[in-house]
Amino acid sequence: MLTLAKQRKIRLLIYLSFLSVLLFLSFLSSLMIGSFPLSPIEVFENLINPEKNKTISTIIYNYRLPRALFALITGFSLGISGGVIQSLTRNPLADPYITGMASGAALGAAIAFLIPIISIYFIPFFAFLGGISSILLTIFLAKKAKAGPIGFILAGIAIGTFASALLIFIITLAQEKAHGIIYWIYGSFSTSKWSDIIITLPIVAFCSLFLFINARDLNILLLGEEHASQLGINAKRLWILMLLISSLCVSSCVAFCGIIGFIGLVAPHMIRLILSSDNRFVLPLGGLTGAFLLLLSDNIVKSSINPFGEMPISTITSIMGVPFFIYLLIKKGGRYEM
Amino acid sequence: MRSIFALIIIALLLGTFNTAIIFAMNNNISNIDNSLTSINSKLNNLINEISSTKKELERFKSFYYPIIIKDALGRTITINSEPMRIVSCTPSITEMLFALNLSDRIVGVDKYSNYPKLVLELKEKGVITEVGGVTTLNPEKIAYLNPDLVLIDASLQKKFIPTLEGFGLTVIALEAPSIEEVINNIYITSKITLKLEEGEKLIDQIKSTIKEITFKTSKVPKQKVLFLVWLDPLWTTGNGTYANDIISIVGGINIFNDKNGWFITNPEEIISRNPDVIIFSSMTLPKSPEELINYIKNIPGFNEINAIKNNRVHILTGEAANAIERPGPRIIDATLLLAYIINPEIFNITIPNFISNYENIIRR
Repeated sequence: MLTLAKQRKIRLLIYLSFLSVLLFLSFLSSLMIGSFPLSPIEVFENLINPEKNKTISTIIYNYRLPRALFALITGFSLGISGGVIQSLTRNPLADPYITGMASGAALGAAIAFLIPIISIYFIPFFAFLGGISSILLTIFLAKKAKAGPIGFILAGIAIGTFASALLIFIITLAQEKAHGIIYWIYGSFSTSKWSDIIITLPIVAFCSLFLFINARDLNILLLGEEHASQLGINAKRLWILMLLISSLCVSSCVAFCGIIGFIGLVAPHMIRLILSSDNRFVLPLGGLTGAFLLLLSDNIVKSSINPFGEMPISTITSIMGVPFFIYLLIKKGGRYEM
Repeated sequence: MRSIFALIIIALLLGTFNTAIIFAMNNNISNIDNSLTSINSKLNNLINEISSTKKELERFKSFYYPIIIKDALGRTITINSEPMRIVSCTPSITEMLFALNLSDRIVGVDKYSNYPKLVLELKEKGVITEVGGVTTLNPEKIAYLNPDLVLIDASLQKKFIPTLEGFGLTVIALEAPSIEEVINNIYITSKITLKLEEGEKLIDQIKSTIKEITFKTSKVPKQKVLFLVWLDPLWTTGNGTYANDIISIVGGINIFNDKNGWFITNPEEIISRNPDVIIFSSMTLPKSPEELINYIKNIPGFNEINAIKNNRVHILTGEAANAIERPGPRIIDATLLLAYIINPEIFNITIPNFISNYENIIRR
């Protein structure tokens, strides 16, 4: 008879090995899929020796590799931030979208995009400003409403809807440039470049490190502010700090790939339902799961090019995410703990 | 009885002449395209038809009207008398009316009609009234002008037909997605407006230009061409568009001719197809031409493309872009311009990377 801890350890190992195989396969196929398909052998040959076929290696190094990596980074940051926000708001339905964070970030980025003097490298900064200010506004509204976690969600929806409306307003005003923006608003990795990764990776690395370190305290925070202060944790400070950091994490990605729904909701829940709701597992594994799910979605998007370009990636993440989430919720609903 | 015999004999003679021309062209040009053959035979047929209509006209002048024609939407339309007040609803139709020497009969044009320059002058003087944008026509304004002929675009302005006909107007829908259709439109318009002389002259000019250019460019290997109309995202054309048609008759081959219509592509696809020439054509430019050329050159991986290596990126704007994007009588200009850009060495010419006013380039 195995103890509960041991059972969990085995399950963790199985899940990790399963996930790493899936991650490897989806990464390989993301290098294979594109305007013209490559065989795995061609991919390896040209990765090892870029001089072999200039055209193929140019395409792999300039387009497919940065695109795959950026999808992984974004999925990772969405997975982590989703888990953090769900814990902070003690609401299983919360994710970067419901809190208005993503819409705010997109709005900030769109404003920066339309002001011609702003260099492309400052767009994530504006996205961060938009994301932070919308989530601060949400916090402020929630406090005013005095309605607890539910009030927080409602305030988030209000702010998010308002930000989205402003976004569409701005797009409509800027007809000339709208081509580029509309495409980017609904989420796409088709324009991912190495420069995006260079800007985003350090931010995401720093943020996720901070969130991992504080995962244990986040567990305690879940028990309630009173409980946390009894254990010597400055609950209010930690709460706001974690919110800001997770917002920074999401905004830096949203700035380059647009709004992508559902990854932040599904990924951490998968870990909670399969393994444990301990944030020390939920955050890193949720991040990895998010990375895999997003890369998989992007592969599907890439293999479905039509005359109007690619479909928005949110289409796939929602179609994949919702039924899966419903299934897990019904099947394992009894063991759902938060 | 004698006149009928004469007509038949003339028709037979013209038919033989027609076949002889096609034969001669086939002998001259070894690897002639199917599309080109069909364009040429279309041209010859139309010239024949115009000539016979002219003959007919001389004999039966008083019986010419009413004429019955089929428009681009397949509607049968009866023209009862010579149209004297015409409204043109697209820039290319306006250009065609001017080329057919009908400028004194135009009473209304759309907002974007700006060529030839005379249109703008006449608009300013109030001789010609503006009747709205191409997709935002104002049917009431058109009806107020009391025209006896309204020429519209079959795909973009189809929705206005019921309203216009409700005002009792004669509406003819034209469509020009290909070179053949452009020529056909010239034929139809010259036929219903009794400008047969002008129509014949114009079609003949088009014919000789196409013949000369295709003959010269058929001797060298085809250049692979990328034709862009937008950069972010990259919009290009496949088969079945006017731009694709012209590229294919001037010794070029559209790298996307395995696809259809206008569509969004991506850098990967372009790199793998490796064009020899890149043409970006846009009425207005989002940035300065130098910035745009730099932008295209700096798209990651484009340094591997022949067009970039050999500095063959061309930005067309203003009149140059209009000539290529408007399927009308400026087909002659567009053919010459694209021929010079795609095969400059044949014509001994150095083509600038940025072209707006093209007159000095094609009228050498």
